Amino acid sequence: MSGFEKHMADVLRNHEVVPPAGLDAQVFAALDSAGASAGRSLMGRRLGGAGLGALLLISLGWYFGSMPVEAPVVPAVAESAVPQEVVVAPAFASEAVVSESMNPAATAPAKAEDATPEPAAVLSAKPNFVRQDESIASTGAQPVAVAPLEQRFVEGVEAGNTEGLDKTLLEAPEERDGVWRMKARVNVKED
Amino acid sequence: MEAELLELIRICKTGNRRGQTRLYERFTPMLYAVALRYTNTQVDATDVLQEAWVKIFRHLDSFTEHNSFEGWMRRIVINTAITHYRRNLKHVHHADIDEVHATPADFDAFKESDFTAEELMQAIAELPTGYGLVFQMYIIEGYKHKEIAEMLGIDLNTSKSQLSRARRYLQEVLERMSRRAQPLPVAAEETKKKTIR
Repeated sequence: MSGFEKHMADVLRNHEVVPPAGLDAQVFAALDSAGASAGRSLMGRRLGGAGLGALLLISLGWYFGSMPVEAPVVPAVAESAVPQEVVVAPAFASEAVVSESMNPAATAPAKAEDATPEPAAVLSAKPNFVRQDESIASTGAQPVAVAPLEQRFVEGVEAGNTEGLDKTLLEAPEERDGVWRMKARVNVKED
Repeated sequence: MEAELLELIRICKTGNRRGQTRLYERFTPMLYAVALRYTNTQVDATDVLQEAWVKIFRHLDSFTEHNSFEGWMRRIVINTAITHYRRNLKHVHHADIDEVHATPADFDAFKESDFTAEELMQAIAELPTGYGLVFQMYIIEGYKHKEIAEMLGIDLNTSKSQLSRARRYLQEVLERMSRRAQPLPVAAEETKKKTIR
């Protein structure tokens, strides 16, 4: 770049020209207009979004509103498939508290309809497992009003009947319910 | 950057109209000169400057204060002028000039005091728009050819050749202006007086 070019650049870079009158009004009007149009487009987007949302809600309402009111369809489940606490036992666990779900023969038919049910003779050969739907008279056991599990455990311990229970676990009360169940089941099997 | 300007910029960022007016009044003469150089006509310069000010105010948040505010605004005006030039490219007619390229040394014949700022502005305005853009971006704004090529969307060599042609064209314009400004010789003066009598 020559010296003259540098001089020209300096002169022109610092040169100022008075703008035509009224340019400021034009600039600020354009600025307001640009801001308003930006606002409009934002509002348009919001309204568009709200419109779509409303349309979706109306569509869903129409769809569900037009559906016939029917009773809810509940899949048929065999009664025996529902685990039930079946108790044929005295007050304490170590003697006999049985969950029917422990008996694989009881749940098998519900899991697969075509599974061959266990013969009645086999079932009857397990005297400690008593189905609730079986006749009580057939087993000779008498139904007993059963207290809640926790209460039975505590009562058992207080009565000094800790046979079959792990003493160390008895010292962790928060664990005792689970331990009690486990021990009870073990005892049942042992029996 | 001076504290007063920083404060003014912060006020403008909040959308304060008084602050915007102050900023406008302070920088418009400088920016208008830039717009005028890049467009050559008052109408186009006004359009470019109006568009540029809207951009400046709307994008003021993106300006970081450790940069030159004047340079940032100047760049916006130049970019707007380039966009304006591209938009109106079909209406621009290029003057054919000789393929004799000029060098910076060709300007050494001119003295710095020979021309006022207005005359230099006028000389620049006489350049065909394409040449004028490259010449100003390279000589006055200090852009590199690579940057100019990217900004104008032209080849690097095109930028170089445009600059060379612009120099040649400008040299002719300045010589013509210089001849007009020279006083008439004494003999010619006397002949002129006799003719008037």
